[in-house]
Parts: sequence; C-alpha cells; structure tokens
Amino acid sequence: MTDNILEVRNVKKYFPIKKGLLLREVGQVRAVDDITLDVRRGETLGLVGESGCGKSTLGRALIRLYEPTSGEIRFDNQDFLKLKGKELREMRQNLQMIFQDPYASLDPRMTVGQILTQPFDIHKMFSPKERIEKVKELLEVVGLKASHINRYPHEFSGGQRQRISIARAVALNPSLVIADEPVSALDVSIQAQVLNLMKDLQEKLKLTYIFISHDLSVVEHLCDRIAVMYLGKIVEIASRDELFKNPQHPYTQSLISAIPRVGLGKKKMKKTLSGEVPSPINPPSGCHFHPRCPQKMDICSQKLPVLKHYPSATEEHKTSCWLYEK
Amino acid sequence: MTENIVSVRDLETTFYSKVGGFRAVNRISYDINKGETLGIVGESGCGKSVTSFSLMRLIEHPGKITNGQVLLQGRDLLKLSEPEMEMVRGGEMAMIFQEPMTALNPVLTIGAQIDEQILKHRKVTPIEAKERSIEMLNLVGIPSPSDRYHNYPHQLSGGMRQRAMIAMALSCDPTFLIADEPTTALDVTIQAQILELIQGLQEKLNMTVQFITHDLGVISEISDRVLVMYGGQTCEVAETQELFSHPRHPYTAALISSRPKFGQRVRRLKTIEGSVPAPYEYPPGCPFTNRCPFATEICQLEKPPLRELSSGHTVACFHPVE
Repeated sequence: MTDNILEVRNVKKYFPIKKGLLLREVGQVRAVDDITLDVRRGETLGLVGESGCGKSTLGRALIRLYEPTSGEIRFDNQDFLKLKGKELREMRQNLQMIFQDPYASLDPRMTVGQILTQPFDIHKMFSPKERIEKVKELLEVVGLKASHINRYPHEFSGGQRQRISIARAVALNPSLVIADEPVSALDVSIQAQVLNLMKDLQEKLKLTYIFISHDLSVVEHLCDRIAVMYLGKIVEIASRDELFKNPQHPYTQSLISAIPRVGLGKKKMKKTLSGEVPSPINPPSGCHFHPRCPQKMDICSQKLPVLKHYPSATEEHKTSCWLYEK
Repeated sequence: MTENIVSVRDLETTFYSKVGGFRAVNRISYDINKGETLGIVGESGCGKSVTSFSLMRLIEHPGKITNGQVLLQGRDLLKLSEPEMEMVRGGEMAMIFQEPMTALNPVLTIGAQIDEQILKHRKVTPIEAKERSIEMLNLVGIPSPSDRYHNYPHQLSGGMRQRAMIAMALSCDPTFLIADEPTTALDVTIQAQILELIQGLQEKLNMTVQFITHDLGVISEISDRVLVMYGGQTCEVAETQELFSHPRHPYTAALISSRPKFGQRVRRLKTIEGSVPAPYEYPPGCPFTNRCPFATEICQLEKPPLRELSSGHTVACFHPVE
C-alpha cells in the first residue's frame, strides 16, 4: 500500500473567454483538462511540458490559488476542495509554493524579516520575540546570514532572493511544496546552488515536492517520477529511469531528443517536431498531439486515448497513445 | 590556410556612471574563420551581449567603445562614419536578437520591415523587394508566406516571429551573422527547429556566425569553437569538443560541472560559491579570483595573459586545471 499525500481526481480548470458589452461567455480555455494524479509522500514529482501546456495552472489549482472548475483533490485523505475559512487556512500550512520569478514574488517594500514573519503572523504562531529568532534560524537554514534580516529584497542577488522564497515556503514546516520553475530565472552556477539547497531541505524536513519545469535536464536531476503534459493533459507518467530509458509517447520521445546535450560536440541538427503547440481554446480533435505527431494513425484524430498502462512498459508507467492499443 | 572574416582586437567598451567607468568588455580579442560558428558563452553580466552590440556599433550613451579594432574582412568598423556603418548593418553583417517581440516594430507589418531593409541595401524596385521578402519568409519555413507578409508581429507566435527576424537578418546575404540568445525565449521543441534552421541556412549561404548564449547545451551543439567569457574578459577559447572534454580554466570547469548532465546522474551538483560580483567589485587581477578554488596572491593582483596551452586551446589563468 503506497502512502499518497495528494490524490488528484479528474481536476479541470477552464478559464472563460468573455467578449462584448455584456461579457457573454464565448468560449473556454481548457488550461487543465481532466487530470488524475497521485503524489506519494516524500517523493519529488516532476511536471514537464512546453509553455501553455497547463503545468503552472495545475500547480496553482492544486493549492487553490485557482479554484478548480471540477474534480476532486484529497490532501492527507481530506477533501481539500470542500474546506473553508479557518480549516482551509490551517490546511494551507502544509501546502506551500515557490514561484519562478524571485523579483516579482517578494514584496519590495518589506524587509526580509517582515516577509518571513508573515507566515507566523497569519497563523498566529509564536510571540513576536520568538518569531524573530525563528526567522534568523530560517535564514541560516537556507544559507543566508541572520544579519540579513533587516535588508530589502533589492539588496540581494537573484539566487539569494530565491533562497528567501524557499525560506518563506518552509517556514511553517509544510509537508508538500509546489515549486513552479524555481531555477529558470537563474544563472547556471546559481541554479546548482538552489537545486542542492532544495535537495538538502527535502532530506532535513521530509518534504514532498511537485517540481514544475520545462527543463528536462533539471527534472532528470531532481525528480523521482515525471509527468509529461501536453495541452492540459498528462500524456505520460513514469518513474524517472523508466521515462528516459523507455519513453512511450511520441511527444515525450521528441521532447527528450530536443534537449541540447552538453559536451557531445557540434552535431548536425536532426529533424525534430514540426509545428507548434495548438491553442487550448480549440484543441484538436482526438489526441491533442496528432497534428504534430510523426506516427499519426487514423484513429488519433477521432478518439481521445486514455492514460493507462500498456504491456510494452513497466508496471507504473502510463501513457495515453493509440500506438500501443492492440 | 584559413581565412579570418572577423578579427576583434583589444575591444574595450566602457559604461560611465556616477561612481566611475566600468569596462563591460575588457580588452577582448578573437578571430572567426570563414564559414565557422564561434559560440560565446557566459552568465548574465559577463559582457557577451555588450560584445555583440559593440561589433554592430549599437552601444548607446552612457556606454562607449573606448579601445580596439573590429575588422570585418580587413576593414575596421570602428573607423567608419555613421552612414557607412549603416550600410554595413543589415548588409554585410546582420544580427538576430533574443526577444523577437521587442526587436520587431509592432506597428509595421513583417513584410514592410523586411522590404525596408532590402530597399536600403539593394538597388531594387518595391515590387522586387516584396518578392524577395516573400522568398525569404519561405526560406525560413513560414507557412503561406505571401499571407504572413501582411501580418503584424503580434499575429505570429514566438517561434514564427523569430523566423521572421531571421528572414529579415538574412535578406541581404550577410557574410557575418550575430545571433544573440536567439532561442532563449523559446520552448525546447521550437528551439530545436530554430537551431536546425540557422545551421541549415549557414551551410547553404556559407555564412560566418557568432552565436551567443548562456546555455551550455545549445552552445555545445551549434558551435565549432567556443569562447568562455567572465567579467568582460576571455577565460578560455577552444574547439567545442576539446573545451567540454578538457576544460582548463577553473571557471569553465566549474560551469560545466554545475549543469545537470543528461544521462549522467550525480547526487549533488558541484557549485560555484558566491555569485557574479557587481561591476565595481572586480579585483584588479583575474575577475574570477574571489570565487576560484585555486586562486593565489598573484591572481588578485595581475591579469593572467591568454596563453596557448595546446594547439588552438588558449586559457587566461595562472593555475590552469590539468
């Protein structure tokens, strides 16, 4: 029996498109379209995909920064979407988020001390004096100095700011942290520092991560399991080793072959995917990937494949593709 | 005998502020052979973009090119008058920028912008210019080019805009192309398409390319030779394969090992301690001194000269990695 910290069932997030004087609804952006997913306690689950595939929307819907249109989310065996007011606030201590842009996610008018005491203020924990001690401790944990407590965000570099965001996220001792592209805005040498810090904290604080990224090399480094998203749907999910060794979905295969490899020398670029990601307002019929798929069959444009296990892969590996349907 | 299309000698670009001058590019020298792709790699603030802008003479106040030569086929671009330089830009030498949304004019159609450049550099009629523009749009793989010709930049996707910018850059058959982070804003699958396009066109048109990026993977796949920059200076130049298999400068070595490598797993990534210093914080000697594990007293005080350690592999370091 595996221990799931988060169970996501058929979650959808549609954004209405409104037009005209009366703001009539003329359509919907299907940003997250029927996602079912389990997150196991203590693991790092990677969510990868290109821009507009819905990975960030899913991340935000999971902690109800966006209210999901429909579906069920069970966090620690409680129905998370039914919680209200005080109960919701208490539950949110356990669910934290790290955002991509450390320049935009920290209030420029607050000192680091103020930013980091906020979680304790909101949840009415500790006395004011203890809070300051806690904040100093947190700063040390993420590799900054306790003496930085009165500085403002602009006095820090990008990497240091991301450390502050991480400190804020772990302040309340959460069990699940959703990290939305936490290193994409950082330079390579700083990325490595932040990735190492995240790994250390995971061991120290027994965290579960959902790690959202478009960078497959980073995801391969950090994640235990990986879900690949395309146009609001998960097209493939597997353990890291299995996904990279035995990718089943043609989209995953081309995504992996499009990663620029370091150190193999100049190569002749090979033909990768043609075309671009279609609009989620009017997704293609059948399998959303079929207009770009090199192995398209007739059925692909007619019926949507389901995400399930096929015998060509190991047990926990699920794919949604007609190629493997016998 | 290889022929140098581009020779940069002791290029120095200074930005002036209240606290004094700061050399964003500090006496950098390099050559690019005909038909070759030179990759310039470095982190933000290392001066790689300022170098390209200096080559195009696009440095604006408070910046100024304060020393050096930029020889394009033997002619020193820094000595040309502004009208002469205007004929070089977009003619013999063209540039692709990182953000196609800001580099293209939002109130003119794609077609009008490409026409403008062709009409400036070629003696052609507007009708011929239009034909050429559509031909270029077709060449860079934009579907139904004669319709797209009438589109405004916002009507195209990011990848298509980047293609349109490449079409514009190549419309007057430049001999030398500068690509400044052309794929950074794009998704991986679109990035692969654009890299393939640049590579294909380079072969077809026999262009010389200077390719700038912070992405070690991209640089490793597209360049013949790589120049690593830090703090406005050259750290190391070598053939791509050689650079990645035997990096000799401590910075290059650290940079390569701090990147998660596909298929080679490590428990922890190696890191470079600290971060890139602020402009006024650089030591008088080697710019990497404060973060370098091998630094000694001499590194603090003296600039290490560029030395050729093996054929075609030059390094600026007193204590090169074995």
